[in-house]
Amino acid sequence: MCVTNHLLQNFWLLEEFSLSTFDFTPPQTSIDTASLRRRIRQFLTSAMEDISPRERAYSWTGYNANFSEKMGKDGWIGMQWPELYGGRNASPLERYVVIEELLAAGAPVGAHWIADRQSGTHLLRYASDRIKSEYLPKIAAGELFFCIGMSEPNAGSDLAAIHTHARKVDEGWIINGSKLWTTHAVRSHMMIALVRTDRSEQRHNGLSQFVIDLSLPGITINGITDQTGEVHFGEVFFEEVLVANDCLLGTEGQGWQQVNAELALERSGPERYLSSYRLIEEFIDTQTDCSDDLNTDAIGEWIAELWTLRQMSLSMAAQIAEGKEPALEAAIVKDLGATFEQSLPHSVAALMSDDGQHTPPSALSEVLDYLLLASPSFSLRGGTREILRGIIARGLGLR
Amino acid sequence: MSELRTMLADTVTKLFSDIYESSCHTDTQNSDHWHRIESLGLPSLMRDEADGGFNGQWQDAVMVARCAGYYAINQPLVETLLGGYALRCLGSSSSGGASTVAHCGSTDLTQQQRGYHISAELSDVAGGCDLPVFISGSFKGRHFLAQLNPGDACRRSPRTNIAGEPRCSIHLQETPLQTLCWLDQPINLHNLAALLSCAQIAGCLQRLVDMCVQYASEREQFGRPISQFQVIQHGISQLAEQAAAVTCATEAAAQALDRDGLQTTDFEIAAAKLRANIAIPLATNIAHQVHGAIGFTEEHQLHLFTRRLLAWRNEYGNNRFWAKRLGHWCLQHRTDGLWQALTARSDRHMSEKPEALREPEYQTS
Repeated sequence: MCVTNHLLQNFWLLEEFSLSTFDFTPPQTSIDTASLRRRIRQFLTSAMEDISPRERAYSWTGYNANFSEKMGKDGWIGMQWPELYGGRNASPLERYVVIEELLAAGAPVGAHWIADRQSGTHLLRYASDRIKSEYLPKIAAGELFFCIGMSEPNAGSDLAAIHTHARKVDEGWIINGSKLWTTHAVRSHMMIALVRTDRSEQRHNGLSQFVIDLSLPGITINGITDQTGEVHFGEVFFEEVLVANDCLLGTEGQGWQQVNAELALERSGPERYLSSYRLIEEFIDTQTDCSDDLNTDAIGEWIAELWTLRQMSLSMAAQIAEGKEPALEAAIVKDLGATFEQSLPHSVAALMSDDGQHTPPSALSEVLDYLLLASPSFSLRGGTREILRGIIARGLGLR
Repeated sequence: MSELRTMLADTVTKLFSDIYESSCHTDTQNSDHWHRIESLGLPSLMRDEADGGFNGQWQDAVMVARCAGYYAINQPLVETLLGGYALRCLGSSSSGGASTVAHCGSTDLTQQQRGYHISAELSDVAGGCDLPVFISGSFKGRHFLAQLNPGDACRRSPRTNIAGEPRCSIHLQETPLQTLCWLDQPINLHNLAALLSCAQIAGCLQRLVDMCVQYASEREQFGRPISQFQVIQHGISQLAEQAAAVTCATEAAAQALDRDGLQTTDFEIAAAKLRANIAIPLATNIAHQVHGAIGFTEEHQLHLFTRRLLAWRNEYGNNRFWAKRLGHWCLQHRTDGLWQALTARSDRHMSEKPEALREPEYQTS
């Protein structure tokens, strides 16, 4: 009996088949990845000659303005934006290929990372023509760096508790308040900040987004040194800071919704599972073809996890390319990715040879030392583990 | 999902949920269930249309296996489906009942007047000892596919795994084979079975998610449903993450298999099975913790899924089996660049010129 015919005769019209709450369909798009990879690898080979193993380990948090400028000159920033604004109309999957190459190589892309990943794309969607024409080409040139003003002293995971406030005046808006734990606050030129514009509204309502030039009068920025010794984040104070009318992004009062659309971009990228990738490369470099079973098996387990995360993350990129906003799936990728990249330094540390002899510092130990100290931040930044699991629980109907 | 696959999925879901319900609430005989599965033609999914099959893709087989996992189908469907694929490779149009598959890495074959005699150990073959077994293997660098019939002379030792599923170890000593076919391209039935095992695991994990969501929403303690406690919510979220990861890895491997064929997808299957194995302890622990004491009883259905998961973790390659292979693959590509080797694997899917990027496949023994 032919199954096909049988199916047609016995077709029950049921709800759409779903054995899963989530959509991780593998990407079906066809793009010429090979030549794109060749070009970005050529660029990296020459641009990264002087980058030390430790700086490679910083990965996408490593701030290097010279490197960003080189990337801008070569057209690797804002590549998915229209040519009018300095982009090259690339597809999100092409951008994905480029950024995963940057991360795998340990390119110090931190200076422009946030602007390229989300601020620029956000401006493209919500900003006035003046703002877009003024800022986007500079971002694409690798000259203008952005930070994201979300957390505040009393609003961390509970983002809706923010107090920073903007009030309307004739010339624009007056901003007062402060932001905390802002990545690269000290060395960024611009901030996209979430602030309260209506104090009569509660929680998620009455919030708006502003693009703020950090050189304006009334702004004070202090760096905060983290436990790795780097001034990675900082605090920003706003005292009667006047911004122009068109610095309000999108719609007044819609800030929360706009921020959430941004989070799918922020949470599903390859940086969410490749932060410790240099460690795998450095570890494998110390191995031989006949490494012991323990090391070989460990490498195998890492690669199974890495490969799976990459499939999930690629699926996100393909969905974003189709105009979807897979915020729920992005939370899954980020939580699984952070758990993986956080566990890697500990696995490697446990496998380091220890014969009681003093071993001189090596590229591997440098990268390991840094990542052991940096990895606690992986499940804090960009939405804590607890926030992400809360989002997933809501998606499952538990809240 | 293609229209035909969606239709197949709907049909299979309906049938399997019926079978699941009736096996929970009535004494319907197993043979009735098998008859219903057979009358839908599911065991022939991977056979040629000319032989009454569906000419299915591996993505179809994975979908059916996921459903089978989700509904704890207690029938040798996945095995027979693989047996059907073996029949297709053998070019046989014989109508078959239930069957199963095995792979032997080291075999001894001797050629006699009336065909080949085989000596090999097949351990823990899925299904009962009364099923015909399709065997893939290699001998002196050549690959073969053979069929072992229930009456053939060999020693069969039955047992059940910790999920109560029948398994059979087969000791072949100079056993005459009626069917043996030499192949140009190797077929490893163990790897294909591993892929469908991943799919069953993915289905089982999804069932755990759904059961936990339902139970946590109904069970009240401290005056409210336990789903309102954050610690419960986060546990179930973690479980759902694991289910999503295994499903994604499995679907990606099936897609690679359909696009590139059997010779070049060992890596994807290895990654999927290892990822599935990694998910199982965390997932089963959470599911039991959410369900409390009732989930630990024989009466409750939870063990239909958790016991299978624990058993399947060690079948068709445990963690060590696949980790070793993947680890060696990485070490082999060390000098030319691990990252380059990894990306080349998916670029052949994304690129318009897939041929240009192909690379020699690593050997699994």
